[in-house]
Amino acid sequence: MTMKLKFFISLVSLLLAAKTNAQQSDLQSKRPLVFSKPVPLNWQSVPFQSINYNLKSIDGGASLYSLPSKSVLKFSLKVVLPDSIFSLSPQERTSYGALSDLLILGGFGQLTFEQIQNFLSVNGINLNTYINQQGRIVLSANALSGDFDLVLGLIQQMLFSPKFDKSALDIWKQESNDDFTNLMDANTLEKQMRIVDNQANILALGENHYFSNSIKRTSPAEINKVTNEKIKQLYKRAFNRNGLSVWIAGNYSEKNFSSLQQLISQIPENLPQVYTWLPERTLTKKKDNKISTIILKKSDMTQANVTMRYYFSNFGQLNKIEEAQMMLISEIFSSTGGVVGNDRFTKAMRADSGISYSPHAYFNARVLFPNTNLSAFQLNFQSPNERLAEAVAIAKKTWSTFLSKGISQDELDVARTALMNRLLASEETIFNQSDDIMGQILRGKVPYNNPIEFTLVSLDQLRDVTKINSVLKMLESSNPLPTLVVMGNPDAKQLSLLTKESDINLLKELDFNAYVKSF
Amino acid sequence: MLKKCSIVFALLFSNIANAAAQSNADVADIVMGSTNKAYKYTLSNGLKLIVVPDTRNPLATLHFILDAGSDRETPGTTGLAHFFEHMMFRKSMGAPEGNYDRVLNSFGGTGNAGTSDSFVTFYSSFPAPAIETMLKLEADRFTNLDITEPYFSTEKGAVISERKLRVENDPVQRSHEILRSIVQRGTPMEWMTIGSKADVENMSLAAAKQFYKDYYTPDNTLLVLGGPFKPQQALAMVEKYFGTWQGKLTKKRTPYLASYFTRDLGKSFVCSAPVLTKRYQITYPAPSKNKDDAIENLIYSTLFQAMLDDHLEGTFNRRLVKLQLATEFNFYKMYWLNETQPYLASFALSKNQDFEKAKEFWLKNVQEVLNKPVTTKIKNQVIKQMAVSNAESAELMTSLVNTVIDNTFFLHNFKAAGKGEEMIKRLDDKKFKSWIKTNLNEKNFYVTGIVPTGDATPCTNFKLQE
Repeated sequence: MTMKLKFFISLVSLLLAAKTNAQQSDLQSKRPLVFSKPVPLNWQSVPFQSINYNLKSIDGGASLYSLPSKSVLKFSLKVVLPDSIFSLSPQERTSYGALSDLLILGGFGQLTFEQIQNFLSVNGINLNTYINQQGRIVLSANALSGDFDLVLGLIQQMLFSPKFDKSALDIWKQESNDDFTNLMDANTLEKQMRIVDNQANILALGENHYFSNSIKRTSPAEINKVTNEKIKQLYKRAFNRNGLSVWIAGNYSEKNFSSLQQLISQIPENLPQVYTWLPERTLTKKKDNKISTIILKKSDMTQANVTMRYYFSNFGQLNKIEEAQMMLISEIFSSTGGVVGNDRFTKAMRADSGISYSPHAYFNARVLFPNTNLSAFQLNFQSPNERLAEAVAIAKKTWSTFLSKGISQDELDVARTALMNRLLASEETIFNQSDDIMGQILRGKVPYNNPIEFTLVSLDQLRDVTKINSVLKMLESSNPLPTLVVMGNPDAKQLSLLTKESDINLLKELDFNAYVKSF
Repeated sequence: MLKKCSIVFALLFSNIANAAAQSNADVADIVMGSTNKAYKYTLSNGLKLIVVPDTRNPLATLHFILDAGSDRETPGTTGLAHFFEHMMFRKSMGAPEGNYDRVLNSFGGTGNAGTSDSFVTFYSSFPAPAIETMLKLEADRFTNLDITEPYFSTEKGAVISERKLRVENDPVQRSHEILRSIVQRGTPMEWMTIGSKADVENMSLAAAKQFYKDYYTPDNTLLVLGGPFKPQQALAMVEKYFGTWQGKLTKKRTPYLASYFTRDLGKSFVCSAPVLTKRYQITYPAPSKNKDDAIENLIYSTLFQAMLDDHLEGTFNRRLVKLQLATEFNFYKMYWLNETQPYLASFALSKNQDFEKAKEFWLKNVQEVLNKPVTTKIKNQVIKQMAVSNAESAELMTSLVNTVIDNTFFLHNFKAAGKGEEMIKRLDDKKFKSWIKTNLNEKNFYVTGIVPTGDATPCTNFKLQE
């Protein structure tokens, strides 16, 4: 009641403001609307709807989460298996990827993959499997509400009687090898940045880290080692009620819910799988203050794709206030609002210099997800080959000035208000709310039922510019590990200009063709 | 959430309701199964406005789409449509540079734009209470853009960088640019939307100003406004800010000569680039004909694909992979283009695979579809897939807005909802088979291909053999 009254008052003030504007509009109609300061929206008056999800514990270690809505036409079901890729030895990880794919590709019950495809088409069902950020296999399905029983039947067969056809594994290998060749074409920005990202991980985490092997794991040498026996062995480990999480959202009946509950309770209960997130958490030892650099030369590129990263290993886990601070700092340095030249990074790299079409930087608090002891500030940009040294110098200078000189009260106010207003512009559905809560729970967090309101309050408290500047000073003095990876075709002059900078330590210069052959 | 929005906007709009024009809207369903409707108006200056009221979230969206894509350009000014899209974000008269983004961002809004061969689009989403501010901001740039130096030249740098990112750094796109200049010769599709490097570098202020005058006119624009608004009140607001927008579209398109659709049939244009995967495309040229055909062609191509995939051995793509004839396949109609709307079958092949075999398999399967009856099962399947797609669109206001744009701008039918389902239910088997014979005829296509270095003439040296 109090909330409603408050909301009404705020509306009256909004209307009064609108009237005043309307009275003046004749005088001002020819004048353009010019930005002065962002207008804070009255978010306190918004009665945020709780995300009222339910948890039903199922004997034997399974959890069933639900978020119903009768106003949508579909439902979504996600079954998250308890095992994780991170619990496996490096040699088994490619096989775990194969298991995820072959749960459908290998056929199940009486159905071959081709029959499954046909069944899905006829009934308009979306069914797929994938490995999530926690390294767990997710079986995901969605369909019109009337088709719940059909979907449940498919999930049941997939879980209880996967076939793992031998011929399907052969086709999987063939397709995986083709995918790898396609990646090695490295013709699009996405593929190029995947390779660049991999090199940055090697610089920071060493050759043997899980992330550093993300491309090698999908190479023909690893793909061709996968056997049906190993897949079946991994399936037996994963087919376990103990630690299983199931999510249902959207329009379904109580009867549907009971059937799902019954299905889960039939899954065998075994000992829980003990897994760690990412056991390898050692950052490459820093020998000096220089930026460890790799140049990957691809002779047909006219523009270089660049990532410059500062890895911080001594922050520990960020608390909620620090998370909000870093969100603001990222926004001021490189806005996510599609704004060109309104933040430090795009102003320097694009608006002022015209060097880079889509520069973007962000703070990644979970480099070793979800162990937040290692975080990184990542600056990604493009540069014409002939301006590489200049582009890197501008990026370095923009970053170091940001840390050393800090931000102004005005920048803080603009960014905070913009971020808070943006939260009010989110388009919520029952399905993205369910996914949001699922993400938090699977990361081991206790979710907030009103996540938007919580973030608004966290941001609203950050009004003191000296505190934000202290965080920047802390970043500056944290002695991060700096890395630089360039994929492009800079000439000898540019390389010489780049490496003559006293803070650049060129560790490797790789030819792209040789890189491809290394697999 | 629903209650909140309805209260806010019922009150907000009571202030301007009296000022609203008393126009009758053309009303249409958007997708079957959704209660949301679309309301269409035409302002006296020709601006077409569609309002999509939706109170589920306190979110609004403005989506402008103009027939001002790169097929409006001429040789020497290629890339202008796209370059102009960039300029729309830089400066309006009397406002500082970058003002649009700053205001949008200050409200927590996000936006972007895109240019294609046949259209340019600008869209933003923001908290609904900012609607008037956003309309004024949009009106500033649509009616009073300030195309001046040094922003004009600085933006060239960003466009050149984008060209490098999207075209020059990608051997497939680089080669595609060359092949396109050959197969689309003599038409405004000859160049890529982003334009040639030389034209972008030499872009003149005068050409940009002329493009703005010629094509950024109200009668060449569709605005779709979505959010928790009453249609009449939304109309009043749009009239307030866009009602005085002047300008007339006078430039007309030159229809393609009939020979465009036949001149290359049976030919093959294959060249090489530094890639590992082979990429081929079978193109069936097809004129856009008249507006009434747009939905029918799209529905028939959907039905054709469903029949192609309906096979004991799996979908067409799966069978290609199993037989090791190709690694990837796609079939679609380019229904968004203006003068030509070809059907395309594209294939990716590994080094040892032979395109001739994949092509032979494709032609055999087209023939098989032609000889199969259209079963009730297939009809029901297509209708079911439409129902699923409708349910997905109904979930988000922004998806409903996109559907309205698809129906109105590309399919030229504001009331397209349900037409596809109806068409499938009442399918004339003979007409459908005749459509296959005409549009996917085994003699009516040409082939383009990009293969690894050494397998053909390098694309950089590739020329049209007359």
